[in-house]
Amino acid sequence: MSRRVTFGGRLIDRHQTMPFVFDGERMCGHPGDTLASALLANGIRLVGRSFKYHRPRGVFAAGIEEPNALVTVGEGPRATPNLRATVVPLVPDLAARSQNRWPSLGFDLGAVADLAARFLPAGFYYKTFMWPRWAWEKIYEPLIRRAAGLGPAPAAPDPDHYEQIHVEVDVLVAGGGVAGLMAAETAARAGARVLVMEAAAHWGGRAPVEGEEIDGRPAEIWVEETLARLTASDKVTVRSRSLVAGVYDHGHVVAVETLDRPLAGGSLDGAVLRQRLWHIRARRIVNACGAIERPLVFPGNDRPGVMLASAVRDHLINWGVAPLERPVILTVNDEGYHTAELLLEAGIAVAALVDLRPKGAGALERALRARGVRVILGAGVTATHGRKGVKGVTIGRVKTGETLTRLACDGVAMAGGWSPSVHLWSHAGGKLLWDEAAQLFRPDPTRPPRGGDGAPLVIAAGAAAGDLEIGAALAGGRAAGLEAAEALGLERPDMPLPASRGRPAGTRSGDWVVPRRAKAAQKERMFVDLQNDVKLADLELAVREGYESVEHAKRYTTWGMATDQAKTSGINGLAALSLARGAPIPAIGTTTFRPPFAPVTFGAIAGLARGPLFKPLRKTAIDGWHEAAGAVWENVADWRRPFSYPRKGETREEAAAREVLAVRQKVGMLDASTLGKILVKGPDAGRFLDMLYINTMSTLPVGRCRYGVMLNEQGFVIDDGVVVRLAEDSFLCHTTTGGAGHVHGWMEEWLQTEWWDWQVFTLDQTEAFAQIAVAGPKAREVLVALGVKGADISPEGLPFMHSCAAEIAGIPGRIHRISFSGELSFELAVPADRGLELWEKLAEVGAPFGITPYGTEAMHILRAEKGYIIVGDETDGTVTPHDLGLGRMISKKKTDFIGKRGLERPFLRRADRWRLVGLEPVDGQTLLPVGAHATDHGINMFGQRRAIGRVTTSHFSPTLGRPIALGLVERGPERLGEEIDFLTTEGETIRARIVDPVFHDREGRRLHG
Amino acid sequence: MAETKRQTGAGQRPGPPVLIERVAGIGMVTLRADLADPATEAALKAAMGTVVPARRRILRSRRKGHLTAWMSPDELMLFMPRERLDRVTRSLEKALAEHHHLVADMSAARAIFRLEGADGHLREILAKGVPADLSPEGLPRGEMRRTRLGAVAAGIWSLEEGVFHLMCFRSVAEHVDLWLRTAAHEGTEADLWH
Repeated sequence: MSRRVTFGGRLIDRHQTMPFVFDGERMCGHPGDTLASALLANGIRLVGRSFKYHRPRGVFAAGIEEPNALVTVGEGPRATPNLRATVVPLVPDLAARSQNRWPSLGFDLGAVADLAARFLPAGFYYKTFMWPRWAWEKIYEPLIRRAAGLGPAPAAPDPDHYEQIHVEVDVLVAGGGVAGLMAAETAARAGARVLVMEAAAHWGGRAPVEGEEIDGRPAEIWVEETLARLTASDKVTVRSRSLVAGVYDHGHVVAVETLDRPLAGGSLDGAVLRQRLWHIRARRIVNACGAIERPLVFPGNDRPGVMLASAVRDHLINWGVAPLERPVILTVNDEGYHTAELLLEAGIAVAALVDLRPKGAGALERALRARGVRVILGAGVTATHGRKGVKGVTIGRVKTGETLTRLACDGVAMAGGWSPSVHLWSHAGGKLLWDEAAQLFRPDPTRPPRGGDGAPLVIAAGAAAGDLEIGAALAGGRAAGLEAAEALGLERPDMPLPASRGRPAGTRSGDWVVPRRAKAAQKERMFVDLQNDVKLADLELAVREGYESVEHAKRYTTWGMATDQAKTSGINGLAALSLARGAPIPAIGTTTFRPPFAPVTFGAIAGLARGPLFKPLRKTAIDGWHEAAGAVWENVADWRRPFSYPRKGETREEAAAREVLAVRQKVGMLDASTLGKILVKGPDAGRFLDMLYINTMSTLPVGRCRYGVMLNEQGFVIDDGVVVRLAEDSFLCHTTTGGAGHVHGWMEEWLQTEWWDWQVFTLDQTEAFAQIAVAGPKAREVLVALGVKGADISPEGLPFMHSCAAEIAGIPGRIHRISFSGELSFELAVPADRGLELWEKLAEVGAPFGITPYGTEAMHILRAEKGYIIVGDETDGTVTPHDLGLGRMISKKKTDFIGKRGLERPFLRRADRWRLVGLEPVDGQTLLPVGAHATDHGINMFGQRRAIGRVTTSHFSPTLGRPIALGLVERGPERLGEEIDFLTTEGETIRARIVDPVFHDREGRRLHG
Repeated sequence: MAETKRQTGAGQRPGPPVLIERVAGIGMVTLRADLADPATEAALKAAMGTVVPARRRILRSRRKGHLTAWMSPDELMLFMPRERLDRVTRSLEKALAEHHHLVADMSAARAIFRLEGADGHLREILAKGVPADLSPEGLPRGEMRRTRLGAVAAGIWSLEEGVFHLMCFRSVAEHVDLWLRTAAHEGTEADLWH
């Protein structure tokens, strides 16, 4: 059983205890513990069930690479699944749960999957659940998802807080081990702005654990002193518990800082600031993330108790925990011997040391034997025994697997060599070199990832560069700092290299799998990827079935996928493919390392952009009035606009109908502030607008308005609106609400790229003005009551489609006599900050006339009754002015305008194009659904019924007392009076008559009133 | 906006106090013209009392509350007390009558926020949503950065230690106000720039 020992424990405070809960059971740890070390201290070996086969699993590692001990931490909406227990710091009353088991961790029904493992090989799902097709989505996938998987996502929103921050630095150092600290200090001494980030809560990496010395003192002291100097420097920012998660193009780096800081007061009272996601722009990045110990592959190598030897040392020295009490040590290098020495020193028995190398380790080996430890050479573990944890192992020959002995033990500590953490080097394209002697991939300094300047962006240092000895790591860190400084044009600093003493890396065996000639049944229990339950047999099967490419084999078997990202599984998977294909490892290549290096929470990715800050909501100056008046809302682009203003007992549609009748019979007022308003000014403004619109604007007299339509180069309608000529050289272009930004950008693009020599300035004034439409037979009376100075608003003084400056109720502004309702209408534009004042005055003086605020739905109905189009309803990016019956607007005199050539294409002039018409249901009462298609006899090339039109707008017209619709119909205007059938999604048919699109006041008498 | 002022830092563990307020009464004029033309320079001197600012600079005039900011190679934003706006626009229109230009009152189009507190703290509050470099080196005094805050366009500048201004479009002012208050919430200090 694992337990706390008196030995070691440099990171914990033994004087204090800290309670926590695992699977409902109360336990105690110490401040400084990780959840994993605290669980081990409490004798907990079984911490989870595996992904696919539900096999029992225990703590395997001591850091970010942990593949087994994935737990859910927190309760209810605060639950975070799939956290690695090895990097979860223990906090008071932390509540953690094991995952992927039911009903309990000890007795898991899903474990039948393990009994059937032989029938669940790689690709099983692809092969088995092919038929019947419909069943995949409805039956198989939900079942598989329930049986296999990781922790469940919480069902309620996370009550805690997350945020992001953006910083720019000269040098980002990822990793706070000795190489990283050396690099940081070197770069800082050269004068660079440096940010150092360490994923763990403690600094120094492995050096303090391995008992290495710098400047004749324990490495730990050098780490402390260096860190203190860095912290004191105003050039340097240091952050622990900060994971550098991804390196992207041009030096964009994403890192996640974990804070777990309780907040008090204000709007976030009671929440916890969990994490801060950093967007870092770094000119140079030093990857000093260390290395991950490589597991060995042997039958039953996934049982609780099988661990990395480095993790055994970490737990002993850092947290004072003996994860194993009588382990067998399995090694390919000298590190197994050091592990054994350490265990003995801590008073822990070693069942045996098994060295895959036939020649052993000379003096180290003799010393160990002298202390009474059994050493077996040229051998490995060929089986592990015990269901929920190792109780014994069988030792056999490396080559043949021939059994030598069987040993009682409680685990296996594996020293399989090291794999540099090349992830950050590789994310943005750095290439790797295979080191045959050390059996590892290291960054190839001649093929680094490059930044925006074409120069190397990432510099690897220390173990992450393959330099496993402390002297080389310090030198590599210094070299990285110097290289970064030089690349930044800084002077080379005077930076002495401290003396150091550590253990030599020694030589290793090339073996990684025992037995070399494994039987088929053994391969079913030889795990390559513990997190994804991928075995040697699966990778061999993938190769046999033709998935030879490393990327194909990865996808077929799921090896190294998802959150593992080839941490403990990477190199063994490649070695397995190499074995199966009979090709050397470098010929296999590597899979793509993808960010994030370790999982990042959705909370951190969202940052502040959640709840009310999820998306900016644009509000007009009059928005508060609408809200107080009980408006129901409609989102139009990023704006919210009143849909209608329901009174007590009214539905939103009933309210809209009432508002329509008010406009037709009396007078209504609409907040039209969201319409785009672009000022176009200059000697060439008229000429410019002639190019932008299909009709001519340069001939428009000052003070007059003209409706214009804009096309893209293809000849399709992109926007429309009324253009007002304010002065000889200046025009105000109204656009659609959603089109304002786009049209302004469109104008600038043409001016800046094509007509850069034209004298035209544009300015988007949308937000500068509030605009209110006053529409209805009594509109002029309301304006008179309101008080208009400096303008004659009589029918003769301000006729339809005229505009003038005026003082409106004491507010300077403009009056445009334009109408989107078909009624007598004035649009009043005043500075936005006086919009509410004008609106309130209108409501007040208009009351005796029955003035009614109306929303977008009434506006839509009013315009539909008049057959006015809306860009986005009647158009969808494939509709021309001819299709809309606006062909007459196209100026014949103009030599060119945007879209002219596009419109000339014969396809767009065909007589059988779908064109705008009005539609009336023949029964006089059925509402045509928007989007319904009309069908004709015959079928098209796909065997479908031939569509000949669709409904683009459909409303019940309160004015006419019956449903009306607009639509685009094949040869529509030539077929007035014909009846065609529209299909509903329910399969019903609605017969409708093709009519003129103008349903109301065809002569436009009311408009000109 | 009902509440325009709020002092943070009144919790149990007092963080650095920050004052966030929306400022009213500022006149804003957009001037588009050929900024290299001596006529523009002369018109600006007369109307605002400043020269044409260099790229990204915002200049303070000797006239109280008058600022000239560079917006783009042919666009400036002029700030002045609202009551001086007509004077400024008339002066510009007159001086540039013979030159291609555009002058428009944009006072109501934008909202301006003023942030007051420890300089480094203000920088990091803004850096929570602004992708540009807001370190003292990245955004020196007297520079206006046109950028974004979260998902909305924003312009940010500082003319004196411990005071930053932010301008955004009026329609998103409530969003920006809530955003700033959330980012400035006590206890979320990043301690980046002291």
